[in-house]
Amino acid sequence: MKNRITFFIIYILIGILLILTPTVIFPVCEGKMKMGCNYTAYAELGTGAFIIVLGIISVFFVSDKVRAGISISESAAGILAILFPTVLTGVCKSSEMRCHMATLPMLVIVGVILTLAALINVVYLLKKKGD
Amino acid sequence: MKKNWIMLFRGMKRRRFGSIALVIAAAILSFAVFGGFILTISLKNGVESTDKRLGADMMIVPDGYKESAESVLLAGSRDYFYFDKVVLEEIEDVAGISAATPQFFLASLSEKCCTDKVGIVGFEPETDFIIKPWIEEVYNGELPDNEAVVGSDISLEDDGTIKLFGEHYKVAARLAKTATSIDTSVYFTLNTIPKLLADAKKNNLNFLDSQKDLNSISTVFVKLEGGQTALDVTKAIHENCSQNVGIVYPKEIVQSLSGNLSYIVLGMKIFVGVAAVISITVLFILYLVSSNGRKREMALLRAMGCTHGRLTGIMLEEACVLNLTGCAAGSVLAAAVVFPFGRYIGRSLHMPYLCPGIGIVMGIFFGSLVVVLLAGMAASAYPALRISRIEPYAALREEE
Repeated sequence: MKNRITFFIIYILIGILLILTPTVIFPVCEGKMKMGCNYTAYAELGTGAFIIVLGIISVFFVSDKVRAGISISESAAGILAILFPTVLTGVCKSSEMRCHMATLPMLVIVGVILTLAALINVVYLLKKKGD
Repeated sequence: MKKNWIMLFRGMKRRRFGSIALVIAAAILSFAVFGGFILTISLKNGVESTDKRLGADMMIVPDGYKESAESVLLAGSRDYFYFDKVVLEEIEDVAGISAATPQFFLASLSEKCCTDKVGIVGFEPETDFIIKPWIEEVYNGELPDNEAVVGSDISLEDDGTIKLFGEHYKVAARLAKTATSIDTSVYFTLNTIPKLLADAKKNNLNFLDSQKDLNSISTVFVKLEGGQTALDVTKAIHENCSQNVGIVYPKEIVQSLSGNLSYIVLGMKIFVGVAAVISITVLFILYLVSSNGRKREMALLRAMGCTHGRLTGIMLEEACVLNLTGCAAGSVLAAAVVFPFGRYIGRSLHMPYLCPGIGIVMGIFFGSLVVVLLAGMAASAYPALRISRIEPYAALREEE
């Protein structure tokens, strides 16, 4: 129960942080022309929502195996959160732009934290099952 | 030995919340020390680099463009302004000037990046003393015409060239990071500027008439002779020039940055000092509470033959492990803030930000490790000594 609640909170917080990073905390560039960072923001909104939905679903499952599966999906979502600003959609090339200086590192850090937390939970849940 | 470590970790696991609180206190101290030092050194590096970059005593610009020129120098903005080349000759005639060199500013959208305005700067290799020292660090010999030297943040094509106005230019060298407008600029010899303008025209890019004028320059950087004051030379320049000019004093800009830096450093010292006092006090209280709660355990160990020294050792070993864990956590957290967000912090403070090299970073990391470890050991020393002097019989009776 403790693990379910803890990771439910972690996933919800990270999902919200992922949504808020490109929109409120370090908003991406604005302008008539759509740039890479704008598409990254859209993608991160979707990824954040997906992480929150998975977090909510995980709290309803008692089975460790099912929750380990959900955590694997969360870690994949974390990797996606890193790949969007770095490889897939990218941010503005100029290192002077806020999306490059602040949004990009913040999204990468949040993605790394999510991936690590989810993988640690997978190991914990599968090991617990083994015991 | 192995048994000792197992006992140590089991003990810490048993007192989970106390151990976590000690790790958090050490992490806060480490975050403040490591993060504070890196931030301060990076800002100092930035100011020193700017000082080196602004290697002139005066920057002469067209009248009304002083603010734009300051913005070009510091923030790397891409304003362009021009006056007739004749100004250079008039300035060279002024007494008290040891060197004068022109530069030509042209802004472009590099095709590699849709959002980055690249600053194109034309300089005169024969007289230059502004950019040449930076180029000489990475490139030997004279820069040929039609070749570029690029700043550290400039994106290149896959084949290593830079594409400007539809044409590819060979990149002779990439400059080291300076935390100034150099990082986002591309440098050509003044002889290459007509070709760049022709390329632009070929690609239907329109420039102002003043930009197309090949007899124009943007600025003249001036170095004074020893013993000359800027005030005297300023007067002479205004008298000698046929058109009105504005004069920027780079040294004053650096002085203003240094003034800001001293306030930031003071703020940082206060922050680190307050964090250190609070963390050490919390560590001391936590160790004291923890040792009081372990009277029975220590009394039993003492009754089983553990010496005073061994009991002190157990307490200090535990403090050492907890402090090291806290220090690692605090340093990682600080690194996650000051490295990726460094430039953003610098920009928010309106200061140039230049991270130190890996050697200095490692030095600061180990230095902060020692400081946190010593502070933690000092905070735990009294409680450890106090508990080691415990009288087993009295302590066990007290616990009952």
